Amino acid sequence: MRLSWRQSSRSQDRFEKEIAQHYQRRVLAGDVVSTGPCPDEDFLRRLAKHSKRLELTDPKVDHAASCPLCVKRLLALRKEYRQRCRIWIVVGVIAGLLLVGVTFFFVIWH
Amino acid sequence: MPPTDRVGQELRWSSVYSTGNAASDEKLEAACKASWSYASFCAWTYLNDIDTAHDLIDHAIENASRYISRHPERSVDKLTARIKSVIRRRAKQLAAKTGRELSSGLLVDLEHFLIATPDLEQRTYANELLDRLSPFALSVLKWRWLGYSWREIAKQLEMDHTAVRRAYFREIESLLHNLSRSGDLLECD
Repeated sequence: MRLSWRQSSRSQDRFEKEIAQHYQRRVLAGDVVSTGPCPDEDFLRRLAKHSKRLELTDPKVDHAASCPLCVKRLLALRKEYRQRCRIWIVVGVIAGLLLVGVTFFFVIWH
Repeated sequence: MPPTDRVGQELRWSSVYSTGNAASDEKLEAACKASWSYASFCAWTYLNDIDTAHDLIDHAIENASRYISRHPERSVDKLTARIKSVIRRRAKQLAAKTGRELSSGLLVDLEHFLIATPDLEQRTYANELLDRLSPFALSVLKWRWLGYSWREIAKQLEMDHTAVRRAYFREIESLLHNLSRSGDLLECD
């Protein structure tokens, strides 16, 4: 059997999201075994930002994705990070509009 | 019977592929150890068969031992890179040879799971699925949950992102297909 990956990608993506949610639920319920100590706050912050400098094969990454405490903290940090991103986008848009307005004003004025 | 465990595998490397030079043997052993997890990942990604990792690493060591005999001054990092490259090439060759028709589930299984299955049943299926996932697939699931893209994951694994994605979904679809089959059998009973 051969699968057509282009056609299937949407259902695969949806399915992946579902499975990830189930996984998250299981971790938060404490049904997943995590090994090793919890990583520090800085490491979790970098993980929440999807830092490219982190080695995914690092055992700390595995722990952070399996420990209920780390997952809760990661979810909070992700939310915080997204909110900060949104604020920066809004600030950027306002600054852009202001710049366009001021430029337009000066062009008309002169 | 050849040893199949990791320690046995390491012993076999040093005895069979000895270059006759202690320093080169040491380099070769260090490079092999560093490449073992890569061989396992390649076997899972390209061949859907973890046991083939032994054949892949055997092939790569044979190649690397000839290489280090010719160039004893080469560093462990260079040797590791060569072994990984040989492993990847061999895995792709074997995948092409065994044909692209790998047994897996049907896309219908995914659709069925998402649309037709009630919430409670979906949760039971998902738990079964998560319990049966291989360590590789589970790692990929964790990295994806952490928000890393397929390209970022593949880059860290030194592989092609489409191959990793395909291997991951192949395993999930296959498991789902088996689960839905066992569900049908239960219904028949």
